[in-house]
Amino acid sequence: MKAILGVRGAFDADGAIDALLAQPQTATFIVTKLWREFVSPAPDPGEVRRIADAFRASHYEIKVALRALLLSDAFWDAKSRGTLVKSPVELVVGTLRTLAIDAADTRPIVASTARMGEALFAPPNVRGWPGGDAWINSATLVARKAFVARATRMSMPGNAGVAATGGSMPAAAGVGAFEHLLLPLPPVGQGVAEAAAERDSVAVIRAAMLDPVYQLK
Amino acid sequence: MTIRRRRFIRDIATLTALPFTGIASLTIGACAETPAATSSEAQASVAPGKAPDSIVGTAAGRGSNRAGYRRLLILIELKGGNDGLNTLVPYRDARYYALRPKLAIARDQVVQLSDRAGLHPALAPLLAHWNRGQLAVLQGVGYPAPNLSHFRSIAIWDTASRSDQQLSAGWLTRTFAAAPTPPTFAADGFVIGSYDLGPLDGGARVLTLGNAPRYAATGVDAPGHSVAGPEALVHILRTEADIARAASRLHGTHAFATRFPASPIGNAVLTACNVVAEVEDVAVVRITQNGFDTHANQAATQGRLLGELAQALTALASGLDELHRYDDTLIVTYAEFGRRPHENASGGTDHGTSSVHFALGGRIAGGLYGAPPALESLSRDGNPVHAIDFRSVYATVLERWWGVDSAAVLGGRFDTLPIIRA
Repeated sequence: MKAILGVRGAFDADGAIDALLAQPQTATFIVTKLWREFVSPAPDPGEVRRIADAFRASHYEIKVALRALLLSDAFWDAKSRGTLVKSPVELVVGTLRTLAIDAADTRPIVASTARMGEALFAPPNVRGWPGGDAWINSATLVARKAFVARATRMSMPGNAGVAATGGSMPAAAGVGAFEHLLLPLPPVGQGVAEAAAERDSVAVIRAAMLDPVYQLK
Repeated sequence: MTIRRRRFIRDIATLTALPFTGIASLTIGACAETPAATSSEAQASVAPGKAPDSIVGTAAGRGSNRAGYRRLLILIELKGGNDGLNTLVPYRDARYYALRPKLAIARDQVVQLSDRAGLHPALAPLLAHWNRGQLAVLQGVGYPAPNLSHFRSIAIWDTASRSDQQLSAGWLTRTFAAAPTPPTFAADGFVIGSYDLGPLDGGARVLTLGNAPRYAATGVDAPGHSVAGPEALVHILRTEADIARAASRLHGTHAFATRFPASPIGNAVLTACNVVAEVEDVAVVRITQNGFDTHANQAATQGRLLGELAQALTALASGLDELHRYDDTLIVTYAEFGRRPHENASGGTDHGTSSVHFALGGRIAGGLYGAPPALESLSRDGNPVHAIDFRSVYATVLERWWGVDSAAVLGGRFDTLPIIRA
């Protein structure tokens, strides 16, 4: 006999999960975690309650919770842009996809995420990665910038992406097009503006990706 | 085409490849004449589980730490939970041998410190520190109502919380919030070999380094942006500025005569010595040694780790002495917990509670403190009751080392330990 949240019984693993799911707080807890992952670091209690209710009513279909979350006004609100730090995997996979880099050997990439504090399938403890701002410290930020610098220098095998987009920037596109595609917020460094003045689209992409705001989502 | 905002910071990864022409012997000369510590057990008057209200031996000048942070604190985390019972062996206690049929260390193997306590043989290099009176052995460090989960228990240690209390900021972060380091300091602390900021989590100015620091060409510069934006962006910009400030001073090229062992913690203490040599103004260095969670085949693993620890501590003391900093350095080990006295069926030990820890330094009053685990009166779950509250160790650092008031930081008054010489 064990007691879980005041319920006594001979629980097996499924029984223990049933006891947890019977608690309304479980839906709130999961939706809050999803909010901090996808929307912003400051969950709106009213919205969380609304989505959690729908989630619970669906018998915990994650799809229902995510759909409600991703269609919420808060998700699309400009104020939510750039408020979250990309996880190492988001940063690495996102950069590779953006630059159309097809890495034949993924082992160095896995090693990169480990240097950024996210060793795949090896969380620091059973609680998992703390995430959020904790992704960034003086060691991980160096590793993150080093990866982006390497990716944009085309020194990675299989990187045809930057070169393919290269050449002179179409005058009509303007810097804004790149910024909008690559950055959640206006750049804080001068690099993008400098590269744009030289009409060098490769340099604009590189400068945008090395700007601090590229670390955000 | 260049990217002007990117400043290439000197790659100091080569520091581990520096040729060492130095001597292997220790040169802790300033204290070499100190008479050997008596091996009688200098039991500190710290009662287990006592309410932390009495004021014992608080440092003068509390609240003013004008010179305090020139005194360096080096914390060494024995991550995973080191087995204290095989670290300081009660070699005359028959119950120890009954609890550890496979893992017990024979009486003739231990490095005797007193007529009943001896170090694991791999810790033999620490005997020189002990004989100089510069090694304090803290027995039975723990806390009431212990938690056996790695992450919960280290959170308790890192935040100096009660076991039933959740605090977010580390105990050193709270210290530096209440009594800030001088603005000339490159950082409050350096974290070496861990992405987890531990006691410096939650707002302290921290720089993190690998065991061998690498500031490669990264695009991290000193932008001096001051941007009103999301907290995450402010955090990134602050981190960039910290990296640039430290990197401008830290090159990792100081030539030490000391030979540093080629283990992870050997690299970490070399990095620490380089930080002290080149950055100088920093209050804390936290080093992590991994691998102490010895559920299976403990004997070989713990022997290797303790050997690496003892050699690294010896190199650290020697390197700091070269820099004339050993007399104002306090080195303290800690961990989330110790391990159960009963060995398990896999030749290992499982999560326990209190454990033994070490304090070393030029100003240490050497000896045995606390009390050996009372193996005859284990708790219902088979663990010994702690003899020293870990917050007493922190109070000692705050009051006796830095001269900072500890009550606000620690949420109460904890007895300090007389391990620091005046």
